Amino acid sequence: MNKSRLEHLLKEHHRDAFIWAGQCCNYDYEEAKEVLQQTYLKIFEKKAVYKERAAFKTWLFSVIRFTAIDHIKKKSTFESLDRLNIVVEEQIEADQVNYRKLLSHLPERQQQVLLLSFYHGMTLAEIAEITKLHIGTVRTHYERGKDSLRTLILKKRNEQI
Amino acid sequence: MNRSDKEIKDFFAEMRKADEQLQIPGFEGTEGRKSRSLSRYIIPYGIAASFLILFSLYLNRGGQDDQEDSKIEIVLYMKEKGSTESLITEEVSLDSWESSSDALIDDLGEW
Repeated sequence: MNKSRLEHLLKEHHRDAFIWAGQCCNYDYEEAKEVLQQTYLKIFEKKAVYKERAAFKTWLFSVIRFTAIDHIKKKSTFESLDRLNIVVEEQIEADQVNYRKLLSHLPERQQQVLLLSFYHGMTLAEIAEITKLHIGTVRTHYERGKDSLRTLILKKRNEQI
Repeated sequence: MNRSDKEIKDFFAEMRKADEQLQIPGFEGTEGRKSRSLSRYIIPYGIAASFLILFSLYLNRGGQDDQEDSKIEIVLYMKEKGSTESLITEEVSLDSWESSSDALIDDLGEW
């Protein structure tokens, strides 16, 4: 794929990519900026190469996810876990509607599977490609995640009444 | 679609709506990256070059000092028992050189 086509595709998916990077960084959008920069650098320097086996967005999301994992690992060696937790709490407090807070009650895998499916409109096969999980495992996370989230939504609704 | 799926879809649709207020940073294409990566290389090379210049200036100056310091006078004189002993003294320059017999002249004057 030539450079201009690659740049065009990245530009097209930039917004979704930034939001996904934020979701991979516990909604810390400053971290998301760094992760996205590192991702683009990997792509332009051909450390991550798109081989057109999957949809471009699927591949891009996969690169972002692994870059975020590496970034958080490196970061956590310099910052204590307490500091990271404070950042997450601050982000959740700032979120008025508390969608993120509600989601944060689910295990991380379930959160990611539901976000990829319902927020980003991906199929289970695409999610399996991004998370590098077996499609059966993805389906399990998907079903369990939906059940847990439904329970949380109902609980929240009952509290409001 | 069953009821539970609808609730979840609504949940995420509202989440997406809330995220519309998010400020998305502008996309930096290859042009932006080029200037950034260029400055990323220029700055360390600039620092390294200035260190090299300073170091070479220091070496040159140090070399001159060495030349001045290397004016060494070696004096050998006979001891009573006939053995010789070297006496090494350093001179800053020829301008400040004094004959070893100058003291004798002064002393004779006093006599």
